[in-house]
Amino acid sequence: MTEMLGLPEGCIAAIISSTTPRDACRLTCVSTTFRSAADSDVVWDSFLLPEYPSSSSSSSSTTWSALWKKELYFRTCHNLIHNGKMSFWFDLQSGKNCYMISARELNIVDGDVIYEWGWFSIPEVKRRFHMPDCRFPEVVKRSEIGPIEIGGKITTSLLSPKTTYVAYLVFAGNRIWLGDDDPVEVFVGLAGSINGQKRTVYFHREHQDGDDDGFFPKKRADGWVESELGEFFNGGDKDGELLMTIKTTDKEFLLVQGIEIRPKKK
Amino acid sequence: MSTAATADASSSGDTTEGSVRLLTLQSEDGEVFEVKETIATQSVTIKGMVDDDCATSTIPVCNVTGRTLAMVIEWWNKHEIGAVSNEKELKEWESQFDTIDDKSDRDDVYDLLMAANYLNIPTLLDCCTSAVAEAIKGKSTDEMREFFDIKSDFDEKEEDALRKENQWAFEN
Repeated sequence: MTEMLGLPEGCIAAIISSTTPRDACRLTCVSTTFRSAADSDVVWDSFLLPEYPSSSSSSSSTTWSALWKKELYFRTCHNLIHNGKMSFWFDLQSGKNCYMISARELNIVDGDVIYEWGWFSIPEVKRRFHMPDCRFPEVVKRSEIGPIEIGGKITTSLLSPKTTYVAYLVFAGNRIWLGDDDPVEVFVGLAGSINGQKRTVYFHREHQDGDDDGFFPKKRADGWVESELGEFFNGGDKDGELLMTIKTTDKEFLLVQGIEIRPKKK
Repeated sequence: MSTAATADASSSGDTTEGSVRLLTLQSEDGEVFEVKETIATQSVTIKGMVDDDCATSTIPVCNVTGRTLAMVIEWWNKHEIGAVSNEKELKEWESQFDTIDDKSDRDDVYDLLMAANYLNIPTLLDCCTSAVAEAIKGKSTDEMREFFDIKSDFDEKEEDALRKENQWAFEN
């Protein structure tokens, strides 16, 4: 009769590869045999590939192939890609791809209203608005009253297939919009498709216990807040383009970090 | 799990049944099985032997008991092209390997893993590894040890250091 520990390390590694990065890290602590299998390149290679975009090394001079795969996996957490305009990382629980599209990549210039938006570097944001750190070198601030329209897009081939994603607008704290309960129209859907998700959310206060989920912004661990824009199931379509838009009436102050897309929590 | 294999201890070497060549496999505990070559070559290892003309005499299958080898042959029979009418039926049949809460089921799966690894049978290997993986997903380190029936061989200091290193995996 075969004991678990009598199995070849390759078999144990194959089992671990079928779990998640989180389980693999817990298995590391089970015993020495498990540690050696759970830390092996075979295992972490399987978590990295095939969804690891080849463009992600552009922001770093490190030779990726020389890295221990587990290290590579964790180094790719919040790695800037697309010339620093997008942040890419893996959801540590599911191993799926996550992205934040920086404000610079968002479509916020509507006709001749470009002057209403101003760019601020992170040190400036910290000093002037007392905001915490951010993923990108700069954020955008709305500085005059007027209707707001923000759009973001991402190629679906960058997303993990067969995964339900949720998109969020990541912006500055609620205090700035206090008292203004204008509805905000949000949309998430494929370009050219009629099956998008359109909803109304509110930005004027933070989510509290008892609220319907997703209608009010929630505080993030990084000190910013995020508002749910909608869900999208990525069936694995290679050529699709996911669109996300935010529309609302007159607003004066809005500090936008970007739009984040991450897998829906089960 | 039942034995669907032809067990015939009287012959050795390759024989033919109709136009299909039969291979003779011998388990670690001496049980002999005659299997159609077209079926047994689902094993990459055996296919290599056939291609190299090394499958003319009895093929010893080390580390695999007759009981396990019978299960492997049952797997091959089910996975032969045309053996089942549709994918759904095959998946249903395979599902008997999916629930491994019982210790005896678990032992069977480890035996099958060993055999699938040695004989290099990708479909069986995939099925068994994902069955075990599904069973341990989300378990705590202690629950994993209990599931595998093993004890930690780290000293306290080592384990503390490892837990710190992988801290995020222990937070909810």
